[in-house]
Amino acid sequence: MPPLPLRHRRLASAVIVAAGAFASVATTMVEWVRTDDVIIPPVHLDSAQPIIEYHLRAKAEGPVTDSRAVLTVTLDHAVTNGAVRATLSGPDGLDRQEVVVNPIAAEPIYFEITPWSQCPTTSCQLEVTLRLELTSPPDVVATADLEGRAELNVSAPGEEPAGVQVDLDVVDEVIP
Amino acid sequence: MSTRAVLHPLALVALALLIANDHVLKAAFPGWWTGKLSDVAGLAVFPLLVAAGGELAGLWRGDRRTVVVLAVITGVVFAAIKLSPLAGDGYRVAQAALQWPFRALAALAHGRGAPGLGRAHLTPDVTDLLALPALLVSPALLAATVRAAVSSPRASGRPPEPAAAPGR
Repeated sequence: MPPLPLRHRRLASAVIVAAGAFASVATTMVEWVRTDDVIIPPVHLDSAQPIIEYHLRAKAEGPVTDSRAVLTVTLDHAVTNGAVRATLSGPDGLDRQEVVVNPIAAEPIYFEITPWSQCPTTSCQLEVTLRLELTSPPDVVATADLEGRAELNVSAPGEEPAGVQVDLDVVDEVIP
Repeated sequence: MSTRAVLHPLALVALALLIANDHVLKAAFPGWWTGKLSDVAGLAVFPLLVAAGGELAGLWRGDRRTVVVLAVITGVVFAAIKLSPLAGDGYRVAQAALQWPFRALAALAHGRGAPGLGRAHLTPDVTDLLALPALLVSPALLAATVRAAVSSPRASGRPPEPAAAPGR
């Protein structure tokens, strides 16, 4: 291999040294991520049963100190003559997200919340409610068919510690 | 000479391995060997990188003695971080301070407020000391580079010696 001219060699060395500095600083910036998901069962809403609530339990057990979690819900829907208000909410301090779906919207509903920003202990658990409500003008017969999936991503900086368990379950279906 | 040794293929491979392992392999294959791989790759090339950085900055010559001294210092500091909770805490705070500007930029890019300083993650695993022999790689690469330069002066980047003028 022909030798690099001195000026080019110094430039190449400087690039490698900079890459090494980045690697040394960023070595513990890597995040581990564990995921679990659950099916939102198919449901038919109409005037006789316009509302349903799913209680989701998001849980991370093991050495999860400083972990963060994002809960994402994706819903496919078919709505006739009305709209569906989908609400994801939890205990105080949790951002409440609301999406209204009308018949024109063809894309899946997609929304996410951060159930806990910094988990201070070795175990985190949170109950979140997904409420689906069919709305329609008076004297209009509306229906909606919905199904979907909820996904929990728990992440924290550093190498993934052994023994981390991440679970997301639908623990209850309530028809108010 | 360390600015040249840092371009040695083995040094480049070690550096690439360090970056790939930290940012891809650890997440894809979490376990014992990915945990050790970064230690081995990092210790192999770190003294050479510091020597080359100092040589580029005009702090020292980046010769073999410099690389050996830096390798010894690296080993002592690495062992202290793994063995002493106090040194480990110092490392976590220093590393977090170095990482903070990047975390702040990422938070701002996502519309969040600046994060707290916090502490970087550290796994105090005594078996990581098994990677210490990798410190021999940096002096070895420098020695190989010096040997190559001596045996092939053109490869050193120096201009060839002028031929003696006839009749002198």
